[in-house]
Amino acid sequence: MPTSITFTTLLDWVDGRLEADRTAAVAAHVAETPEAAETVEWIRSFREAGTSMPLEAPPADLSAELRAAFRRHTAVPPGTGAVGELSGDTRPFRIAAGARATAGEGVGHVVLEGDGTTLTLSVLNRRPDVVDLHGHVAWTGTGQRPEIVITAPDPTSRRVARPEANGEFRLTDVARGVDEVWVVSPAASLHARLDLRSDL
Amino acid sequence: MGEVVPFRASEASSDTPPHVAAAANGGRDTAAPGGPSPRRIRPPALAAPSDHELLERCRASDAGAWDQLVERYERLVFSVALRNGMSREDAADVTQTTFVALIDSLHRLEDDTRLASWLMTVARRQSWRVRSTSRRDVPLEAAAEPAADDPYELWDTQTVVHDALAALGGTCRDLLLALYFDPDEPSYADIATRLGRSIGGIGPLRGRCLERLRTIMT
Repeated sequence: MPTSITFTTLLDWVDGRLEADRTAAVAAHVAETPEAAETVEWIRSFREAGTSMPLEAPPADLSAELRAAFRRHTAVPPGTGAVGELSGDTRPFRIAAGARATAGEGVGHVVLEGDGTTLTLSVLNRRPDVVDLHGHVAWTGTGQRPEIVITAPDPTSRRVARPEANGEFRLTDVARGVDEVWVVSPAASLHARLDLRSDL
Repeated sequence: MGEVVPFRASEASSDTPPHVAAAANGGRDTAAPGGPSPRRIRPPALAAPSDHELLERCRASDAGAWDQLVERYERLVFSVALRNGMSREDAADVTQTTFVALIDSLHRLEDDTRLASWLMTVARRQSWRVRSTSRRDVPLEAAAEPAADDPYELWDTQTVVHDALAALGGTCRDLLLALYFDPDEPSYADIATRLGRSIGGIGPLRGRCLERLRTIMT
């Protein structure tokens, strides 16, 4: 490539920013030089990536919520409002049908209630050190969807899930060392002890 | 190409070792003394922290670092959701879920340098989930013909480009995003003001930045 035909010149040509008297010369150079043609192809591919998915700004209130979520979920305890307790029939029971339990493996359920919120947890005992949690949270009121935070003495074992609009959520590879579950919303949080070390 | 591309320290992200950036700049400040453009819109900003640095600070519960990650990637995640057929309301919901998933995964990310594509992938899967849930809620007789599951042919290119832009970092990343990804298509003058550069420097700078990006991608 002649020294006058730089990458920036090719970019100017692709962008239509080149002076008219140089356009034909660059076009001829690109037609004759495979290396230049490859560069032009790459530039066009990059430009297409931009035009096919321009980066739209989200609503301002979403930006604020994204920032607030981190502060809610890294706080100890989670959340920023009042704290209530989840309670109810916390006796673990095996699933009635549809799942088979073998040695060290099985499914258990816990149902917790409080302040108009019902949290159902299905605990899948997949490996000795971790479990999967499939859950559902139902809540009254029209406030923002609550989130689920699972905490442990080891902060790296802390987990958080945002339920789907229908209340379902799923956390995989949850450490058995976790010992608390929180239902967290901007206004208030609900709390319960959790024991995943026993075979529910 | 075989040509030497000058690189200036102020274009570097914090990924660039200081001695490399200084050598590339000949040990000079970014404004040439006595140069033709005495106008300095603002002093050179500190190098932007890399994604890895911000993630490490987030792991230590640094909310300020989290805010910078949100600032850096909220548009990308929101746009992935829009591009995958979400309404603005659903795209906002997908964005929120994606960033909560990032909070959940802070200690389990396999590769901090690929945060952009990780966020994009989570947002796209979450969009599919929302779409399929919505379809289940629609009575069969009212359901329209389903759209193709993945209408987006440029997906692989997009993920590679955004990971490379993250590796590029600094002023270069901001400039290329403004020039080629901003739907408002800001003018050179607007971009120059935003980045604290002279208008005349934007064109050559974009060439240098894009050539660096190509090097990263290849």
